[in-house]
Order: sequence, then structure tokens, then C-alpha cells
Amino acid sequence: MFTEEVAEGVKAGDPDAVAAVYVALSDRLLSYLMARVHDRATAEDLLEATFLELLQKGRTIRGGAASIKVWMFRSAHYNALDHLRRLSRRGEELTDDPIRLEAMDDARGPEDLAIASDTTQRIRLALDQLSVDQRQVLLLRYAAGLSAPEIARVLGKNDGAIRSLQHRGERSLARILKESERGDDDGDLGMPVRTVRTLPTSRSRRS
Amino acid sequence: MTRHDDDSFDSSLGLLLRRALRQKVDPETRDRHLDALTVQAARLREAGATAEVLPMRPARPRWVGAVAAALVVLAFCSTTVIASQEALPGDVLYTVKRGTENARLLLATSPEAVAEVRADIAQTRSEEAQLVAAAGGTAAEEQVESLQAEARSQIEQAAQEAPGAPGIGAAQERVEQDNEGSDQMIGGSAAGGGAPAPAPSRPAAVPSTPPAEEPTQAPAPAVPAPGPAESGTVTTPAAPLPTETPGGLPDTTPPAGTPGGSVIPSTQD
Repeated sequence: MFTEEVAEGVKAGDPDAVAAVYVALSDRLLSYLMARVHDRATAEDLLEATFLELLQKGRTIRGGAASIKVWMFRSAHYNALDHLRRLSRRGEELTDDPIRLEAMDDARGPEDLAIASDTTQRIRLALDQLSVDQRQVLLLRYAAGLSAPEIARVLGKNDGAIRSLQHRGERSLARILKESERGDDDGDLGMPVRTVRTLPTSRSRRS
Repeated sequence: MTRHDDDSFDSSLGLLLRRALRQKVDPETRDRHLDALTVQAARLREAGATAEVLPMRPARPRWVGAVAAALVVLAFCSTTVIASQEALPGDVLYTVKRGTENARLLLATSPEAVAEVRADIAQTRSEEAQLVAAAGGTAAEEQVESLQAEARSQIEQAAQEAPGAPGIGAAQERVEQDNEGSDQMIGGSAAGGGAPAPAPSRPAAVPSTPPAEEPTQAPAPAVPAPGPAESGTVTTPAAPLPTETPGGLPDTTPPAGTPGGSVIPSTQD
């Protein structure tokens, strides 16, 4: 449990407290990072870097458990952004790895995995068609499980803007998925299938 | 709490999104990360013992940097302005000095204040003329003339702007004395040493207050014109104060008409 006592330990530089935070938040952080960088190994490296950062800079965080949680997602957000910028400078492109993505869930059988993989692919393609801001908000909402005020603090926007982005993002996502289903019925995918994504522009990344 | 916070928006889509995006850290990765954290914590403890001894410095507010930068700029400007006060024509900081004078003129609100600043500037110019003349050089004469002309011009303007302003007369007197001194220096150096140059003709800018050494009403001599052999205390009429010579020594040349050629009262029995 990520309690206020654990938060005090983090601020005192206690590695056990940081480990407790890891247990509490690592899955959600990994989900968010994975959705951002589309590569599990990279996402795991960024996750480790984020926790090492917490160990080093935990003393500087003001506030309790809630503040540390926001700090973690903010740190992960910027670590992902830095990684994407480095890729952009090197001229590399993001590639999807849906099979690898689903392979971690051992509880499901092959058929379930195939369906799930298809759904996941469909949703991720739909997410790609949203604006950068909408996508970031939806990822923080559904991958990281943050509330609107927490997302606002992570992205440095106000609550109203986050709610609006979330609302519009959800509507657009639903519309895109419906069109996709209709396209499937007609024997067409209904949306451009892109296995290679271009990076967001610097302007959209700033926003 | 809005509908966005409690997932009431199409819950099936929300669930779908969660499931699609959900990831789990596998146990090996988790162990690796926790090991890395332990190692890093040990490193920090070893290397960062100082961090425990020294308290964390409180975060500095953002405005502190801006204020510090402003203070540095202010200190630099003040130092430059103060240093420029000793500058002479041709020096790097002379422009700053002139700029400061212009700023003072602009900031003066009343005509009297403007006149006072102009009188100040005039005195500064005449002092500069003296210093330039003392330093000598090829272009010294031209510079001295230019500085003297400006000093006179400033006095004239001051007198026009605020005729009744106090201190203008004294300033003019001081300027004329300084100008005379610099003329003598320039003349002396031009003549090869010593010989005083004729004083240049100057326009009477304003009715100047009579100099202190020229009493408006000469006291009536209490004694007849003294002869060299006359006995008794000889009181000379108010003699002019010695004027400064280029070398800084008082000029004790007797003024015309001073009997005996000495201004020192003599007592003869």
C-alpha cells in the first residue's frame, strides 16, 4: 500500500519505501510508458530510470503520497518524451509490437489472445488518430488510471481542459471504432492500418 | 466528480481501453528493478553521506534570480556612472558622463532646477578645460576652446531659462576663473613656458556679480597716499585676492596702482 508513511520514507531516501511505491505503481507506470513508446524493453528501462530518479530526488518532493504519485507519472511522462525526442533526432520511427505486448498475459488461451490482440491493435490504431493531447489524456486516464485533477497536474493544464480533452477524445475514439467495425463488416478495415507511426511534431509534443 | 471520473461514459469502451492498455511488470523485471534500486540506494548512502549531513537547501523562489540579475545590472550601471565622472574628452567613459548630464537635464522639472543643472555642467566643462590644458597635447587648444565655449553656452542658457536662479552668477564667475586659468596654461605652453597669454575676449553673458576681490565701494583711504619712506602703519586698500596661477601657486603680482609694490602691510618705526 502506498500510504503516507511510505511517502515519508521516500522523502527520507529509504529504498524500502521506494520499493513499496514500485509495488504499488509499477504496473500502471509500465502501461502508460508502453502506450507511449510502443516497445516493452524501452518501457521497462524508462520505468527503472523513473524509480531511480525517485530514489535520488524524492527528498525534493513537496506533499504526501498523492504528490509523489503525480511526480512519478510526470517523471515517466518526461522520460518518455525525452526518449521520443532522441528517436526523432536519430531519425528512427516507432514500431508497434502487439504480439510482444500481449504475450505477457499468460492467463489467456491462444484464441483469447488472438481476439485480444486484434482488439488491442484496433484500439491502438484508433488512439493514433486522436490528437496528441487527447491521446495523452486518455492514456493517463485508462492506462495509468489517474483522475482528471491528477492528469491536470501531470500535464500542467487545468482540470477543465483535461475534462474537455477526455470527453472529446472518448467521443472521437468511439466514432473511429464504430467506423472500424462497419468497415470490417464490409470487408474493409475502415481505418488506415499503420504498423509504422510517425512521431508527433515538436509543436504537438510541447502542447 | 464528473462522468469522466467514474467511467460512466460508455463503460464497455472504458473497459476495453483499460484491457487493451494494461501491462504487468513480470517478476524477473520486478526483481531486477528492485535490485537496481537497492544498489543505487547503497551507492547514494556511500557517496552522498554529505547529503545527510548537510540539510537540503530550500528551493529558491524564481524571482530571486531575476532580482539578483537586476541588482547586478544596477550595480554595474552605478559603478560605470560614478567612474565616468572623472572622464575627460577622449576617454571611453566620457560619453557616459555626457549621457548622465543629459539625463539630469531631462529629469529636472522646474526651470530653476534646469538652470542649476546647466550651471553645474558649465562648471564641469570649465574644470575639464583646465585639466585638458594642463595635460597639453596637440589638440589640447582646440578641445579647451570647445569646452570653454560650451561652458559659456550653458551659463547663457541657464541665465535665459531662469534669470533669477541663485548660483548662476557664482557659477559664471567660477567658470570664467577656470577658463582664464586654462587660457594661461594653454598660452604658457604655446609660448614655451611662463609668459601668460592674453586673456581671450569673452562675451558678457549675464550681468555677473562683482567678484569678491573688487569691492563695489572702495573704502576711503584713511591715510594719504603712502610713500616708501613714510613711517607708521600703512594700510593698503582692499587688495584683490591672489588668483591661482597655472602651477597652482597664488599670483602675488601687485595690481596696478598698488603702492609700494607689496600688499603686505608693513610696520616701520
